[in-house]
Amino acid sequence: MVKRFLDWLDDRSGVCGFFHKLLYEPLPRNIGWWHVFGSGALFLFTLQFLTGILLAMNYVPSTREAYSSVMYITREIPFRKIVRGLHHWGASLMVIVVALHMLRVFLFGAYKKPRELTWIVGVSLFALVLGFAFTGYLLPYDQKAYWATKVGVNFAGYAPFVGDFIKRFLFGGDDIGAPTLTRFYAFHVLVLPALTVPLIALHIVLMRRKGIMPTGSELNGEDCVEKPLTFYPHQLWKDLCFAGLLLLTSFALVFHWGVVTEPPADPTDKNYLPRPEWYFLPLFQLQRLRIGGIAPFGGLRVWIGTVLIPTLLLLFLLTLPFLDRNPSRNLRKRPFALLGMVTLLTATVLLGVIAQRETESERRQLAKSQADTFTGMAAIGQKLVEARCLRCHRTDGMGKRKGPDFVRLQKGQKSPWTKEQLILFLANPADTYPKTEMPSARKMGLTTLDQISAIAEFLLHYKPLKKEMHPHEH
Amino acid sequence: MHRRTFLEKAVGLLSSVIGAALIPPFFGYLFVPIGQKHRTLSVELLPEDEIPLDGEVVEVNYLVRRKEGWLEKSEVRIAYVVNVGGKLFVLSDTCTHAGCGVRWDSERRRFICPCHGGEFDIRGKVLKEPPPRPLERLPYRLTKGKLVIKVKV
Repeated sequence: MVKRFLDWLDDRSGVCGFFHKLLYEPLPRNIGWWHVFGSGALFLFTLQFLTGILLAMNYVPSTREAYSSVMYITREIPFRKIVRGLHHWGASLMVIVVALHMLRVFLFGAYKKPRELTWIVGVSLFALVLGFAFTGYLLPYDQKAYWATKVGVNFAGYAPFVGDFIKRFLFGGDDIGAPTLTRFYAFHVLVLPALTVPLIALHIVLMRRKGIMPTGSELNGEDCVEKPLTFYPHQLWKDLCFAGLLLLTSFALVFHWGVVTEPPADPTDKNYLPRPEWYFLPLFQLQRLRIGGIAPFGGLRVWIGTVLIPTLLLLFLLTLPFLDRNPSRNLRKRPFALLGMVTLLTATVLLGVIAQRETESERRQLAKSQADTFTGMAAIGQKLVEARCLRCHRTDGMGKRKGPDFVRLQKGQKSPWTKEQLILFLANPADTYPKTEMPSARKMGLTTLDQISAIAEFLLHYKPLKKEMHPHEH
Repeated sequence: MHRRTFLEKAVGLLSSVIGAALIPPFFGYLFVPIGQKHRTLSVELLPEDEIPLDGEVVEVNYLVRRKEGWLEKSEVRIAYVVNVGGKLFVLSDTCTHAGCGVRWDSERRRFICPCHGGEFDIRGKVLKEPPPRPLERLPYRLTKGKLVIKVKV
């Protein structure tokens, strides 16, 4: 019965023949573990596709609801954390696997005749992957999303002539906001997938048309290479092993690190250090590069770093099969190609490492300067404490000694009180300590809950002073 | 066993393992949230002195706090408080056929559903199909001079 149905289906559509051709493609003997990255990328794309659909079911691309809908996805049910985690870490793995795939093709000289088109489509797919990454991390609308996108798009605005247009096009206005989020969402879930899926298909069709390049073969010797193996099961087995490894890595990342979500986007924050995801760090570093204290590109370095060099690099990669006229695929006979690749790779890694190290030291600097200044509610609380509480309490040599001194928290120590406990205590101290002489907040002229909670916020973060900032202390 | 057959078996096994690792999170994500249960809330509907007289029907709007996925919001709902010969009913306004809201037609003295023409009498019994069941009666009690109902949200 089933067989008759299949026979009928195959007769009318040719579907069985198609799958047979797909699975039993003859392969040369020396294809193997080096060739798993392409199918690894395809596996990751499928995973991103599926998890993306699931996430879209619970996501609202609105500046008001994006963050809470993402937190709902992350928190409410354990499976959601896995689904979001797979999507989040899948993006990083995708960049790595695609880069390895490109590197393998480059090292083996597989982009040369007759596979130039496969390479060009592949480079386009790489650009699309970066597009997915850039549009994707705005969507949670947390601090990182907000600031990294704001900065990234403003950089694109430095391009001559078209810069302002590009910036406004991406923002959907003159600054980041609700239209930016809907735009990025549409790009991320509609435009980019619609471009990527047919390009992947084309990439595979082209790859099959000219066959996988037999490792170590030269341009003219390809035709006489024996092809005793078939894709199924010989190569599929290795591809699946790699896919399993990728999945295992994703799960490990999800369970070990989870998904880092920063606080919701706060346009008033003056203490946030915006940094893009790790795979954009080399580009980020390029635009602020200083060698021995001198910026090599002068005042133009922002647009050179973020627009000109990436564009040139992309054009270079796209035209590589035609620029590289060396007929050999043997790496030993391609010294310039090898040198170029090593230089590019070293520069990229180096820029990334420098960016990471500078970011870490900047974070420390920022944390240091923040230790003595309070922001937001805590700053309001600090003023109230100085005006009211210091009438009876002493701290840092100020105030009277009627009540106990305020003691700063030790480094790394957390306040023994929760904010709620502090608020309830301040509102009516006698509730907690019946014999205390401390007056209620109302008696001290603190009539609103906002005032009390501001004081609580300040006390919660009463950190030690930095000695170098206040030399008069010692 | 030939190397080829061995590899064929290995492919089958490995793809099943990968599939099996992904099915629980994907299906759990899709299907766990739809199984969430209703909560029952007590809502004050009316002060006792506003309870309708014999033969009267009063439409009462009330607010419930409701969680809809990531949103927590207030929602306006409607109930009918009905007095028939001194007996009190609190009727839900939701038609039992397809969930539309029924309105009280005071001239014809019946509840009418706008969607498919279903009709209910003052006690909520079906007068005209298609509704398969009478209107739902919400449990109520009188406490501290208030009419309090229990609703599912």
